[in-house]
Amino acid sequence: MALTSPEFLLLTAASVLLYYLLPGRFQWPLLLAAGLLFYCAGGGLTVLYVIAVALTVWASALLIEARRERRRLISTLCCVLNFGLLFVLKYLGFTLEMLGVRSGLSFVLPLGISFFMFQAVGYLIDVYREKYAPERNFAKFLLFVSFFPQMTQGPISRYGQLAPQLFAERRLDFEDLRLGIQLMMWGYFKKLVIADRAAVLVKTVMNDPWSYGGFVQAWGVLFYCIQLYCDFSGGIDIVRGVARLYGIDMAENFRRPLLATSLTDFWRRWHISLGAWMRDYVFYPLTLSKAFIKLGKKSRKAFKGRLGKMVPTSLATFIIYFIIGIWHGASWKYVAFGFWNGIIITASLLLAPSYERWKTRLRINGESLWWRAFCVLRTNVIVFLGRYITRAPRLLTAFWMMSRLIADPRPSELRAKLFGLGITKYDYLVIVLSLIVMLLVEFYEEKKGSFRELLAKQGAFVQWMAIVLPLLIIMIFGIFRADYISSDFIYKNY
Amino acid sequence: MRSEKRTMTAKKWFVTFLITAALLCGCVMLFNYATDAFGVFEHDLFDWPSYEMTLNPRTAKLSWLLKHKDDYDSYILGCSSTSSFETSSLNEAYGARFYNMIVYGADMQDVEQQAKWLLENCEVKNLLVNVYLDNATIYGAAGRNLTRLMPWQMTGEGAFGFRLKYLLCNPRYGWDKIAKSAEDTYLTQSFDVFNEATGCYNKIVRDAEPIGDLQEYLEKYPGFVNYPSRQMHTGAGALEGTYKSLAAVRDMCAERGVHFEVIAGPVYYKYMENFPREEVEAFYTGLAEVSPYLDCVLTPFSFDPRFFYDETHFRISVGDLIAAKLGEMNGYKGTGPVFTGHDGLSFSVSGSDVFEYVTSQTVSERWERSWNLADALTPADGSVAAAAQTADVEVLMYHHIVADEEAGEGDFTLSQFEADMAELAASRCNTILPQDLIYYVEGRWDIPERAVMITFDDGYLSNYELAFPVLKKYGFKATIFVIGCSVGHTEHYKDTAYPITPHFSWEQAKEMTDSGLISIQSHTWDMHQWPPYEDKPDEQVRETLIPLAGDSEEGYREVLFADAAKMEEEFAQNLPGSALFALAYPEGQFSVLVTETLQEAGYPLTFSTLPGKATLVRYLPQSLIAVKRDNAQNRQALLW
Repeated sequence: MALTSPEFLLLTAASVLLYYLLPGRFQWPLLLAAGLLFYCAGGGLTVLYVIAVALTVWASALLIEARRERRRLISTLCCVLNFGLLFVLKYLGFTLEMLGVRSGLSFVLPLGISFFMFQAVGYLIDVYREKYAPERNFAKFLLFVSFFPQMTQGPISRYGQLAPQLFAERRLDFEDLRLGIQLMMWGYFKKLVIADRAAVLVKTVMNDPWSYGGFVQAWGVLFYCIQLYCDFSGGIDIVRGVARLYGIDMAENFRRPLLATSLTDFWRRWHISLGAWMRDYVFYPLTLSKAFIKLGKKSRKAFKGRLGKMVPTSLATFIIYFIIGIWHGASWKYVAFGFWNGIIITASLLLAPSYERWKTRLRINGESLWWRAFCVLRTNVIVFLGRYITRAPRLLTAFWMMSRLIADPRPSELRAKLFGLGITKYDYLVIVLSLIVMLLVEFYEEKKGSFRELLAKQGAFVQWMAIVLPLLIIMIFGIFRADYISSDFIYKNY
Repeated sequence: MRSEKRTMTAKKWFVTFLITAALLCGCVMLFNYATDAFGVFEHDLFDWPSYEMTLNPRTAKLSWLLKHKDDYDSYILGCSSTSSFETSSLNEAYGARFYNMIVYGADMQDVEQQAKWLLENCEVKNLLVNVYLDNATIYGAAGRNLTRLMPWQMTGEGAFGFRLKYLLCNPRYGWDKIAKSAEDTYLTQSFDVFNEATGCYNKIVRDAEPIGDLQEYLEKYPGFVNYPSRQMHTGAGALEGTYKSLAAVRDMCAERGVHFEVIAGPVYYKYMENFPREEVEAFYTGLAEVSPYLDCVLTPFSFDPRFFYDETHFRISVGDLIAAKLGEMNGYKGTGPVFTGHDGLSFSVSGSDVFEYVTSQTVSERWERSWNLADALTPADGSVAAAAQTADVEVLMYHHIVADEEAGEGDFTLSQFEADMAELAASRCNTILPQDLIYYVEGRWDIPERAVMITFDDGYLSNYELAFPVLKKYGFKATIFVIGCSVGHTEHYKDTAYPITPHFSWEQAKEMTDSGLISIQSHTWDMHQWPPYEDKPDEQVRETLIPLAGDSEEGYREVLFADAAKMEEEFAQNLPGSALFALAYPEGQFSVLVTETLQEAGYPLTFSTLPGKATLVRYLPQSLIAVKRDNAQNRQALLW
């Protein structure tokens, strides 16, 4: 069930209506039922995976509490079991292929498995760290794992943040409905009007990059960046909007990543919940582990000064981005994507003092607008190049495409084929105007704060227009786009 | 002082949102309902069946039948190539009133659903199913696309859910229907490809195209050259489904005493080559187990692109021959293709003999012969097969002839004409008449070796006074295309005072036709006007048949029909016993609208002035359109 399908809207509307009609104690079971229905409608029997993950984690958490002395063993076993399952379903085929075994193995990948499994395992680690007492009611825990708006594409929520909201008894607050609907409209606008339109061009170029020169390929990658951001962040807005309809506040997953000034900053703004998960459950444990502390001591002896201190942190950073890379999918290109991010970020960590020295020597004011604009541009170029790796059909094709940018750019081809890449002049116009609107809103939010609050202060007519126009635009340019077949959310199977 | 802005409370915002969203939805639904682009709402607010059928033939044909089912008592079903069975030919073959239920991309599941509905809701005497090779690869592939959905009446699905999809569809469909209705004209356009009254694709444009030489056809339709060869296979699931559905239709017909017939339609040989032979044979053998069928799959027609509109759709002229065979099989008169306008002798079509009714006993033997045929007709060098029987004819065009003593510079003299005739005689040429071309195409006459047609345009007196005696001397046959309104005018152009080259009279024409050597045919009644002499200010001057700038397609057709009717009337009165069925385009000019309208006006045979030898293709009436002619009066060498 795609977030853009009428069925999803119907399920949302019906469950919201029931949610506020039912007595408070039936509210969370309703959400659970909606979640399971949603999952079955899209994934059929793969719902058993969800239940299996929830069951093992729930039981392990209870065991940890009961047998604290064995908690290390229990949590390790549970993690091995779950990540083992993830490995078998998602990576086994790839691993065997890498080892030269032709297995022909292929599994039906449960929708959003990487999302709900990370969410569940995060809870387990928190219980292990005695951050929370374990949940005793399995049904309640199952709801935490299968809250339907976020199941297929995140964000990866924390138990302490989400669970109390899920189980609270609520009364109707129209402010929630207003905020929820506004968020959803914003999400649908980004997803249907911009991303799905850009997707047509991306598909045209990327299905056959071999027949284009470097500029057209770059054009395709640029539109992929637009598509990916609007699709993913739009999807998250829809998810957060739906959650809000039940009065549930979900953490932001994007904070205007286009305005990031460095790649590290980018990853703090892009898919925030994944980054935070990696930081809390992988990076810190890793850097604080005995092995790393030992490594730190050794490296400080071996290398003098800053470099010696940086070795363990750099290594951990490298590992994190490697994991983030393969989290995206089982393929060499994601491994390379991990390396790409890891290398650039590690290098910038190591070279940071030299940068500072150059900046001082060149008398660059780090606070000036121009310097910030330069940093934003630089970051976006790095991100753009990284997208070559993830979107090219194969890893080697990605490198070949990058090389073509210099070796065979064919700028005249881009001019000639601009309107022959699957989208029309009018589509370009819609994309450009929509992007301008989106960026203006993002700038406003970056500098001044909530755009929604600004809107709420306006007169009735302006507010009504802020309902009519988005609805019309989403309908005309989104839902009723020519040959409208909504491509599924790109992040769905991650 | 500015008053405080009135903002909205969250509750008011929410209510406003709900009302706005509901209103917008309502507008879309109302618009979609009113425009009904897919023909699913069964109202008459904006009825345009051929457009609706183009968008979704499954739904729109049902809508049509709900209103018109009493007009029909027999049906033919199948995928798009089924369209080439014209209902008029089937009606003649079965003495019935057929409707063609073809829908694009139909598989046997669609056919079963349609048949069930027809049998339960309509009077059905005959039910024909055309099975195509694709039925061995596709089954139950019903699309979710609005353009391919089966109507709820045929699937048994709920009406509400079905209609809701169309109520909420993209309003652009309805908008386009409104926009295109302003562009609708007589000739077929991409947005109205169906003839709603017969259910067939409206092929009037393609059926009015001149066809002769294969190379020219291939240049026009390059899809036949370098036909993509792919490895294709029949599918077990598709086979099972196809047989199951076909058997269900067979049994439903048997229960109700409805005549049921299966036709295995022609397949272009290149497409057939994509499949392993044993799989193809297995498919048709299985078909014969379900029901005996009329095998038209691989016949000589499959081995010539000229019998196909494109790589998958055979021509109506082939469908007509199959219909004739069906009629023959069922004890009706199998008249085959009917060309109106000629002298109407009755004959049987031998072309339909290549189709054979096969049963499970005879199917393997039939396929053995089909494969032998394929081996014999497929060119070894990979070039395009050309199995059609063809005949070449040199058609010579003359106009006015001048006696040598009166000749000025540039005139064509009697002695030049005599020399031409002497050359023809010396070359042992056989002169033929227009009906010979038709007879050849119909399959009941052979064109002799070194066939020549001698033709004269306009109907000058010199043709009678000077040429006719020469023709008699050699015993040569010739055709004269007369401008009807000029017949008998020896001094003045029509009713003006302008002088005119003298034209022979109807009496002289009669004398010539009575000789058996001359055929008088049409050069239009009055559509070859001479502009300098047409000085009536209000009237448009028609120098050729090409429609004038201000003509609508319908308006032009009326003009042409009126002209043809006048010619027909005068002809019947003055040349009783002669048949009028051929026309030479004034100035040799023609267009699709011209050739199409002339066919309807009773001229199956028309002549152009395109140079070169005419190629006639047996069983292909399109080879009688715009037949090439060489201007004999300014040729270096008369013959090839």
